[in-house]
Amino acid sequence: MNRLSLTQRLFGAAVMTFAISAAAALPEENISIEPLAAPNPQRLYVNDPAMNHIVDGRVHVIDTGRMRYLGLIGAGYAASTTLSRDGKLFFVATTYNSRLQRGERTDVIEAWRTSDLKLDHEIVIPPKRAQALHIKALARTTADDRFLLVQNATPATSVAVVDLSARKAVSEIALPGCWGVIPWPQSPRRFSTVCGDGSLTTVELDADGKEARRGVGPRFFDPDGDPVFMHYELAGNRLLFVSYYGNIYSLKLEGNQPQAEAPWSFVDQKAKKQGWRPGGFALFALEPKSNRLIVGMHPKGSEGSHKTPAAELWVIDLAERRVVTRAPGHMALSMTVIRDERPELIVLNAVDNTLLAFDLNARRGLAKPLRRSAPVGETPVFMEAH
Amino acid sequence: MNWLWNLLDRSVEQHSRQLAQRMSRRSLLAKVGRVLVAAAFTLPVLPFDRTAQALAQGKKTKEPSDTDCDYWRYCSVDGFLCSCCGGSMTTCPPGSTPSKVSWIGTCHNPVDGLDYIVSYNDCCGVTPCGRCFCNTNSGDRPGYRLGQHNDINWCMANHESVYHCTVSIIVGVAEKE
Repeated sequence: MNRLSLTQRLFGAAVMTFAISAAAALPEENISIEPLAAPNPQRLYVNDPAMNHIVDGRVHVIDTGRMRYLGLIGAGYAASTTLSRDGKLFFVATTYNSRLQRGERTDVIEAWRTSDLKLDHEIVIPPKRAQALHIKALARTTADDRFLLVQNATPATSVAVVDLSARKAVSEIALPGCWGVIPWPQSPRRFSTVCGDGSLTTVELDADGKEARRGVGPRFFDPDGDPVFMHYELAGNRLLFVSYYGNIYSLKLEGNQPQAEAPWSFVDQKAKKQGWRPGGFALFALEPKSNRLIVGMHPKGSEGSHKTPAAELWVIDLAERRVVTRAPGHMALSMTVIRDERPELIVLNAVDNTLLAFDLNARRGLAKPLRRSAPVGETPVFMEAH
Repeated sequence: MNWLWNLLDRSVEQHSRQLAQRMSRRSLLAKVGRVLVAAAFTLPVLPFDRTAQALAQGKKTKEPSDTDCDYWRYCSVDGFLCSCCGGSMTTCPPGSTPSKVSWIGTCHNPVDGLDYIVSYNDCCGVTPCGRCFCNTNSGDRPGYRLGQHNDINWCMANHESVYHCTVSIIVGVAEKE
């Protein structure tokens, strides 16, 4: 070979390359649709309003078991989202303008099939829905999936009741000064809402989705002295809130009206001195088997720091009323629990938009993530597990 | 806090200042930027908080200007500064429309030592500006105190309700409690 000129060598190489590709030509292909595995508890829906082009929000569908990106649901303008209780439909309450950024506003409930991520049907609703960064309390189905409750703000606040069987909006319930819909777990016609005087108001619907009656109270927190975050969790019939200063407020959703329990602090004096406070968006999550709450916390808290991503994750035993673990925070902005046989905590890292999975069964499971995803989306804020 | 609501009502009903407010999605992002100030050596710097970037790079040698997140009257902003989008602290960029409703914050002006009530109106009808994202959140409260809530689109009452950017209008001096 040493005696061959450069030209001869290049020519030889080209011939060989051609010969190889002719011998091992790839087969012809047909386009098809990637099969989607049936939904399982490890599937996660990530609500991403895409702030920089918010008319074009999206929901990313992720398999957290393999941290694999499964697909995307286009979600329009500042969508609120929720999974049906039977897991078959993913509801997107959103807004479209006839000319993208202008024109006639249409608010709509889209029902996407979780089996194939295709649109099953849509229900047009009055154009009043709250266009907000999504939190759980902005859109929820009743315990029997019969009605979808959607928070409105014009800025007058009300709740739209959408009949999912008849596929139409059936009523609007005025709830001035109140925010959020919290369906009662065992009373399919009831929901509660948090009001600006620190009380809970509870509405009972009739069989047609119209207001049958309402009850005001109890007043369970001081909105000026210790405001609660609107994110909530349910431990059975017990409704849990966390306050800006690290108190837990709970109410039993039973009987004629909610029963408030005495609030308690999970921040000891030393931590208080260091300014440790809860922060984030969906900033805490419940692991129901162990009855433990995981809360995103940051030190040196001050007025306005309540959306700060977590410097630490604190695990609180609700029965013992104490912090049992403090673990690295991974800049958690939001979190949720995969309610599988072996429950996992999924954390959304606010800095790089990665998702981290932690083993909640292992004693030191929060010390190190089991898996980490590639960055997901642009400005994701909320996650819902299947 | 009733006085705040009264003030908001007056502001909206009497003055029809037409400005409105914004959406708060952005909230999280700015706060993240602040946290990065402390973590700049180990974490990437996000693109949306110029204040944090400047601090992280050690280049903050002058007082914050009207395009900096830490400018005093932006203490409860959660969105894109109109000052970076063709408008100013008090004007909407050409082509956009002031919001009819707004949220309210109280910010301390270090120059004269007074606390001012600031109306954060959104400018509407144009797709988001995408420049100078700030998220400061002082006084922000959940939606049960809607007039102090910045996680929602304050273009909500406008015919064309798409959020573009946020202005910060002084509407009065806050009384000392």
